[in-house]
Amino acid sequence: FYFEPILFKPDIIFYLLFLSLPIVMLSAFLLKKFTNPKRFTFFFSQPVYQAPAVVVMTIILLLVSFNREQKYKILIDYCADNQEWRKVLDLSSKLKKYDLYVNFNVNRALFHTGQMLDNLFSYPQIIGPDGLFINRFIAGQIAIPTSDLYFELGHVNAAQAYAYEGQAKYKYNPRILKRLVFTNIINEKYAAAEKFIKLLKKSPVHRNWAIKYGKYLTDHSLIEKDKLFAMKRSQKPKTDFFISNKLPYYDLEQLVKENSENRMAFEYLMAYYLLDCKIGNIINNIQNFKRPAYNRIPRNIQEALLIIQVISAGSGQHEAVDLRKYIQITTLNDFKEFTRLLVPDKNISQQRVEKKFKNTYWYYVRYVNPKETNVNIQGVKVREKLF
Amino acid sequence: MKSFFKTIWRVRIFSIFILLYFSGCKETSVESYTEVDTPAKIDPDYSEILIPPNIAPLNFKICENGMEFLVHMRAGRNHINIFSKRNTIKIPARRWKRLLQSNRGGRIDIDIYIKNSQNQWKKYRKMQNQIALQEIDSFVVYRLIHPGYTLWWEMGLYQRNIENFSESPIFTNRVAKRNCMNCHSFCKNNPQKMLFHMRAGYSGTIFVNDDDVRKINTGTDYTMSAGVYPSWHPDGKHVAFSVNMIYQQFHAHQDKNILVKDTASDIIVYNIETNTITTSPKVSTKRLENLPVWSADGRYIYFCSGPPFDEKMDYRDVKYDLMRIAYDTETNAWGNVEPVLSASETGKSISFPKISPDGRYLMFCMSDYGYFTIHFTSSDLYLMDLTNNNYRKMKVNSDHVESYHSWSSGGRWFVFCSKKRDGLCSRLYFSYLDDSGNTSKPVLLPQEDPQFYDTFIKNYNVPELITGPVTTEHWKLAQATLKEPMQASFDKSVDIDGLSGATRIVKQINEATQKPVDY
Repeated sequence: FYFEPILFKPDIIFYLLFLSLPIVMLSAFLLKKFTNPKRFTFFFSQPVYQAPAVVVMTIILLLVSFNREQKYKILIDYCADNQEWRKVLDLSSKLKKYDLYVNFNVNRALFHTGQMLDNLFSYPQIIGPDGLFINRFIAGQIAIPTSDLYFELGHVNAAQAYAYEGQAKYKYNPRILKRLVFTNIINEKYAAAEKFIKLLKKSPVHRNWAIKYGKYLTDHSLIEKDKLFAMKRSQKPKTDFFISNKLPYYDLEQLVKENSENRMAFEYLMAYYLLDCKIGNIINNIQNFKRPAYNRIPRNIQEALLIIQVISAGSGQHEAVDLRKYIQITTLNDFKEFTRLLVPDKNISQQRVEKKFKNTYWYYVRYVNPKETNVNIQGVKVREKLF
Repeated sequence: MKSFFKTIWRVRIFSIFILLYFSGCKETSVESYTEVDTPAKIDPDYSEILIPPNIAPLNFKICENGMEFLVHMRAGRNHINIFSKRNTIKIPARRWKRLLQSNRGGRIDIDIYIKNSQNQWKKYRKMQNQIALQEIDSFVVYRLIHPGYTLWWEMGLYQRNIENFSESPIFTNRVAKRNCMNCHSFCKNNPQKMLFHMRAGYSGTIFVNDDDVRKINTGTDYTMSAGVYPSWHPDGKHVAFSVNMIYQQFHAHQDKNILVKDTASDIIVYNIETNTITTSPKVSTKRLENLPVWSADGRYIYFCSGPPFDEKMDYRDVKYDLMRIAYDTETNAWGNVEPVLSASETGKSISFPKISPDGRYLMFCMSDYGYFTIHFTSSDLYLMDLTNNNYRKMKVNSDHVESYHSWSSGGRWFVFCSKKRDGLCSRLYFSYLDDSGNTSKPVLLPQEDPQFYDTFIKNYNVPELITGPVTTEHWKLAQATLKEPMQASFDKSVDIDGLSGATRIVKQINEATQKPVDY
């Protein structure tokens, strides 16, 4: 709703507010007519009683109408925009109900705090890979966060396309205008960037920001010195392909293929494979974890490898790769315990493993993933069957 | 009492002096100056142009540093002096109009003087503009849309009076569930005879014929979609449409942004009087027949024709030819498809053919591939002389997109879209075509604030010149929009089994689902 304030749907409190005036007037009229006026005159005419009454009523109304969950969601969006990723994770743990946008921002926060492939399942990933990319269904409210994600991934044209989509509805939103300045500078479209800088200069709040980046348009050496622009220019696709909002892992594969140093694209790809249960593809990318950025195979990947080993045991698949060397002994022991707790009844099994293994990939595969649960949240439909 | 009136008069005279002082009338000529051998840089670039004699003041910004600015315009006996402490030059409308009207076919000399911080005046090289004899149609209609491609929120058709700066909505989507609206088209530049499509919520085509406004569903069981790209027959009773299956994809590489493509398309003709749709197997083939346009005499339909859709085909290999087919509206008889210009000959893809009112010229776009050229940097305007079918690239082109164009009713002026200002937003430019087929330097649609385009982030889409304002009331259009559309019927004389192309696919689907066929 924080991207769609215009779609605010009034609830009962909203209508009660309008009703309150005639009700109060009617009550006053009836009170005056059917009761002894002298009994009430003193109370209603004394400010010393009126003021506290108003304060108490206000507090009651605030308590009744205040929605803490919504406040947290807005805060999460704000923190994500300001890259306060720890706060995003802290706030998300306070929410009682699942939320698609929170899921999306938690996944971004997990990457930026270096936990994506270790703690991916610390948040209930009940809609699977649709929690990574929320743009399967084009709608105004997904445009800005999707643009944010693509920008972080270095998928610059996609970030720009979604920023333009967002602009159709929120034409002077500074987040969008700033994004368009960045993407157009990265894409060397300086005349287009200038247009958005001129718009931002009209705002006293964003004027200094606009002046700073306005200098980049005339002095290109500033762009070369800027680390963000240098990084994004190195990450952006060098060859052309079509952006896929239905199957975003195609884009991730392309980004990783072109720039294996694009760590976010790589981890998002691995996370996508995990969440979509395409874990066979992880084997093909296992060598990428040998880079200095990783001192070990992340925990969730190890958990997936154990599943692969179980599935492929005796089938001849993946025998060429010795998976055991990637798996730590603690993970192996946990897996043994997990399998030991399983019984033929799925519900009883879930109760037995939930406490200790809720945050594992094994638990996700059996009890959370949408191919098993057929979950349907906010228009996100069930994907194809597992395996 | 007398002294009271005296005081009033004194106050008035004093106020006039104050106003004159602050309005910059204190200095309208420069005695001493040094000459600069280059013209001052102005934006929009209104130098060395041919000016329509009925256009609004061409206000501009002087892109040179200075403390004070003086612009002196002279044409025949008329002259205008504009002094400004800012670099934006706003020309007084009445005097501008008088200057243009009194000097049709003549020349305007423009001198620009700029005073620097040392109080020294510089005079830049004189600019010379010509005033055309022939007027441009007084209104241009366009859709204003954001650069966003899939989503929309605010959308509307607007008409701009070219003779002044007034812009007014013809219809906006505020009353129609914010739905999409597109493809407005006029019959022979007539503002009282138009159509446009409503999409999504209240879908249908709105036909306006003077006071008669009606909504028609031009989609039938035998056509793959409702009518899309329209062209009015000169008789005002028939409209040729393409029917299309349109998709769009977004490029990941910075040099491209969007591809709009069709997986199927055919040509149909809608008869307004009988409310029927007809077609022919000759223009409903597996090839991609698209973007029909009538010849000036109404005897032929020119259209683009691309190769049959193949999923494996590289999108860059989809190039459209220009064809034509004879069609007699009286007898409903189709001729044979004749090639006019093939993509194999040009090496490029042809789109948006538009024939001049006198029937002599055909203006069209050519790009490296596809037909939806507004997103292609490679798109340029070309002109074909229909007396000998020779064609050439027009001089109005730039390195950026030049796309959708339309003719003025007089056949001399035309308007087109170009993104040459910033590579992002399409703007409207006017140009004049002389007897020899040469074009004048494009003139950007003037705005009251010469810096308007710097921060205006909407696109001018599908410009159509019309001879006067559309006077159909907004509420009438709204009323028709909110109504259920009248269903157009499919022509019984069409050999359905003869349809060999994409249209047939729809029929096969209907048969497969055993949907009752009603025609």
